[in-house]
Amino acid sequence: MRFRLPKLLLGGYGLLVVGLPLAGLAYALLGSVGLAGPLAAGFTGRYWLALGHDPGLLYAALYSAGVALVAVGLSTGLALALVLGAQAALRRGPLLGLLYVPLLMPALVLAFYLFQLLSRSGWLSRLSYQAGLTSRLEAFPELVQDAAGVGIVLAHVLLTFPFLALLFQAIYQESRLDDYYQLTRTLGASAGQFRRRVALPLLLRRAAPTLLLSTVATLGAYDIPLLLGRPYPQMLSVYLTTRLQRFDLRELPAAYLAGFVVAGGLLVLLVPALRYTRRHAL
Amino acid sequence: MKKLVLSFLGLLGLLSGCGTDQPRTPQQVLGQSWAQVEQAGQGQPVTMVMWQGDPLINQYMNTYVKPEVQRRYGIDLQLVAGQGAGLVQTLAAEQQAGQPSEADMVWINGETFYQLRQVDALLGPFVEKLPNARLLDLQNPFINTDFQQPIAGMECPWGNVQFNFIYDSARVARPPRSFAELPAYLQAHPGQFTIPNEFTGMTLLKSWMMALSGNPALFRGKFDEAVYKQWSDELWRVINASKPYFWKQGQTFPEQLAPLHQLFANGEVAFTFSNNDAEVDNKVNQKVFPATARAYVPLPGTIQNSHYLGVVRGARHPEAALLVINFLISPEAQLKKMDPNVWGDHTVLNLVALPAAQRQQFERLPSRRYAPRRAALQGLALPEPDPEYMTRLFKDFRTYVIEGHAVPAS
Repeated sequence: MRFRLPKLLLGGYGLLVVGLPLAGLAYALLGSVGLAGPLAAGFTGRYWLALGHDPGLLYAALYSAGVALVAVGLSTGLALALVLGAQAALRRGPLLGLLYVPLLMPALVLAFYLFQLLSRSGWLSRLSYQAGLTSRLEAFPELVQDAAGVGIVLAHVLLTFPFLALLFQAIYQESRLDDYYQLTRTLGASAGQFRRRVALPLLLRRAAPTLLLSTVATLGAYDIPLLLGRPYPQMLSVYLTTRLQRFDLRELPAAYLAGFVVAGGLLVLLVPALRYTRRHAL
Repeated sequence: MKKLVLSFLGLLGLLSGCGTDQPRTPQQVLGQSWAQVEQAGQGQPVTMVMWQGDPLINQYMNTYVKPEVQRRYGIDLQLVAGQGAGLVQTLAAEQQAGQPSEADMVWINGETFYQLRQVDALLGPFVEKLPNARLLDLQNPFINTDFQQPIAGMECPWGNVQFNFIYDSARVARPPRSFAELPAYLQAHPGQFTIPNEFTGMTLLKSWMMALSGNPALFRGKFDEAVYKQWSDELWRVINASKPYFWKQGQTFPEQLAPLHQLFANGEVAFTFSNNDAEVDNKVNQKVFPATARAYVPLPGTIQNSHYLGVVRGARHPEAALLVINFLISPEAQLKKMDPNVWGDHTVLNLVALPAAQRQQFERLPSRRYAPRRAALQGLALPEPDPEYMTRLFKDFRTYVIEGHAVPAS
């Protein structure tokens, strides 16, 4: 009797995190073959056949992957530089506390703040106009809703970099890298060699599952690309939502199909992440 | 043990209580006399699903309509955000699940009306049951027909609007007076103009396409593939030729109207648009737009349409919804709504049918200061084409303009 409750809770949790997403996936699959949805009229494979002729989903996937890799790559680089280059500042002073501040902001709030700051009618543009640096609005560089996704990357870096810096710092301390530093110095290694040969591989190896999950989370982000991105190219979540909300209900099966393919793809990406987590759990 | 059994029985009682709130057949609801409807609707809650993107409209509903229906009928009116395909999907899902709907009434028109009828999610015909329906201007084709679909009593007219251009007269001395002048104007004044990729933008595209055809009558009746192909191709050709002169060189377009209004208010563009010909007045009055904002309708005209109220087929409180709709088309509520300082939505009532005193109240409303008078627009009103024109334009605008794919040859 004592063990029933945890099992029940575990079952409920399993249903929540596995059962419901799988049910959603199954509904999307049924919708993509015309067996579910408001105008479902019986089985059809034409939406699957048409998938190959629609480059939109592939383009959105490639664009999202690019943005996610650049954003997480930059965040990782900055966080490593901070943890490996400014240990003293991280242990004393307000820097460590300041890293928590962006983490308290919801993604949409941060995106809105960046929009107000960086758009052509935003604060920076106004300041540069007042200072005589630009003569008109169009002269201010396009930093949000730009083709390369600069605004989206910047917003994700602002959210991900502090998180990764805190993570690396925790690993650094838990792995007693300071002691290793003293040891390698005693053995004749330079500070640079310690960072490259000892600290960097250890930090990256232990943080790998989190880095992968951060990349997947950025890949599927919605709020930030919605506000700071363009109608084209779109990141995956915005692309899918746009398709689901189109005026034409006959488009719904194609939207269900796109959702199924994306969700399936992300699940496949999560499998190696789970394997890593088991091997290198913190 | 006794306590457990009693609790179980109590829970069963609660569940069975929930089960009594089942929707009735349309015949059962609409077969009642108005006195019975009034009796059944008194003191009920009503959930209305509506677009909530305009603060003045929300204010009208929250500070005038809600207290009034509470005072008159004891109805607790709850407003919920929703529209378009999302609304259709929700109501269709409720129907498929065999559940009574969470919504009682909906604010709709055009393609949403068409789709709700496709999935049989509307209760009706009900308009004739409403005592105030005798005051409606149902002989007016811009009111009795919704995107080429006769309303057939399945939705009740609520307001009537016409698409218009809004420009900043401080920046634009002489705006293009017609769609034909627009490309040359854009070339001479780059960066001032863009098209919102949403409902209002699609109304602009429909009006532009009809203007290009030179014969808006071509777009009457059911969707015509040949007509669409010929004139949408021409539209994409004209727009793509002007694209380098659009805001941000046409490399991106606002996804909603509100951001375009914001760009206009910030001075980043010199033009915005509205489906409500009186919106410029209420936006200037709110100081959202500069006092130099003006509205006009380019030649040969723009689309005029109406918006409507429907009752959900699976509504839990259909009688109360009918009472609310009857109030919303009353002369008092329509008068209040037509005031440009309140909403500025043109009435759907036949003013001739009103008593002289009420008619004079409509005629004495504060006049528009920044938009043309309604009478001046009537000769420039084009009827809404079949909803398929909009769904196709929405899809093709993305493909051939936003994404820049080549238009296939005919």
